Amino acid sequence: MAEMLRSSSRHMPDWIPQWLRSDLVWDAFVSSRRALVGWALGSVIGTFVGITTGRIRSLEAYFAPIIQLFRPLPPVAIIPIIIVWLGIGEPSKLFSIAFAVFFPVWINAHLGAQKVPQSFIWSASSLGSRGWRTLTRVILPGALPFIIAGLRTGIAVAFVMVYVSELAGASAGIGYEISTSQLAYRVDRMMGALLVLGILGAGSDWALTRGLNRLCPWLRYSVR
Amino acid sequence: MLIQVQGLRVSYGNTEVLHGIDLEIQEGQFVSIVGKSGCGKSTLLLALASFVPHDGAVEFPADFGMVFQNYAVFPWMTVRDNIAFGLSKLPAVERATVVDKHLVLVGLESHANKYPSQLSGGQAQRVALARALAANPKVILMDEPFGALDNFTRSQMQQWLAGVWQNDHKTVVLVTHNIEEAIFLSDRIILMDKGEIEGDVEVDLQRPRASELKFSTGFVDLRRSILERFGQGV
Repeated sequence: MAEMLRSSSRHMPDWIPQWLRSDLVWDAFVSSRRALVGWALGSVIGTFVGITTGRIRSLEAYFAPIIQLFRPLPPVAIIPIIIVWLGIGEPSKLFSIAFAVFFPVWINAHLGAQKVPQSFIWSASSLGSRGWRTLTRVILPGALPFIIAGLRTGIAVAFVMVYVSELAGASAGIGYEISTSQLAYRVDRMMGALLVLGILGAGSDWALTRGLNRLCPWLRYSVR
Repeated sequence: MLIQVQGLRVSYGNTEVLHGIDLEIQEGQFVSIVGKSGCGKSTLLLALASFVPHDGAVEFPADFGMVFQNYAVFPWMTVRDNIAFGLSKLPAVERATVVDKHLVLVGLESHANKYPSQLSGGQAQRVALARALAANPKVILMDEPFGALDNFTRSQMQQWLAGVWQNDHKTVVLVTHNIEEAIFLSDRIILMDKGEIEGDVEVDLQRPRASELKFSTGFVDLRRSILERFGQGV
């Protein structure tokens, strides 16, 4: 797959601009993969922790202050520490993206879980629903509009962080492409890479909302 | 007695909102709890269901259904899935049969695959009631179920509910601030004020009940006597 993409990026028709015929396709693939894996990790953990702290008072009292302590930190500022801990390879990049995505997803899932109307929980309870079933069939879908807001914010954050994480210790990716183009004073390549980064972010957001609308058709209707 | 309550007290923080309620309700009775806003009637319902912490002795069946003013039908489930929610222990075929029966009962067969947001307020409330009835509970608790509806729809829903109740005589505890609604639907009306029961009125009117009953002498006299006893604000 990697070789095919590298090869395809080098053997493109003449009418495609030079900057597009570089390794940009491969860079876009590498960055997308990093952004989406990091986003998925941060989103799953953020949603789980957010739902938990949103519904269980004792866990909220314990974890929320700790999370709030880390939330205002600029994710970019922790990259040097992450590199010291995890090295300059792929794990540190994925961790820094997931770390940054976690916070907007967590706060939205947390608030969403708290905002599920109590009458929904009482109705479910009166119909014999408890624990896991209430969590998955009532609280999670009830919090979904908030969670989606967090996931969409998280996508934008993931593409910011993929750029930042590729500025150091990367050999491929849009961030790497921009930093090497800057050293070579290639403004055209920098602009092209930025455009691709924007398209990847917007495309991912479009795909997410489209997928969610398909999976959860009720979201298309206003909620009573 | 299906429901027995002795010395029920409920406090929110330092404020006691129910001051030692004693209440008995027989199986098959339709009982309405009427009172001014803030008198504790909804809290009494929540305490019966053990949804709020309380002191005192409460004997209440474990299997009950609950219907709220805001419908509380799940927006992410279709009408069919909402009604089936409390039937997860039944085999799939039996579950489908029960759901179909209740779709017919509430007249929403053609809306089975719609989402609640695609329904009117009256239809959504019928889904909520079908969901509660489908699980075949011993008691149904209703907290101002028609409070969000316009007067015409409300009247239709009262008529419809009276018809549904006539079929199976399920025990119902209805909270409402509408005296006409309470008289029309109930066998008995509990009057509450400031967290205490102030009166207990038997409604000795013919059944089955039709909307014309609201213009009968018995209905009007009963309404007048309740209003005279407890003031226009009830």
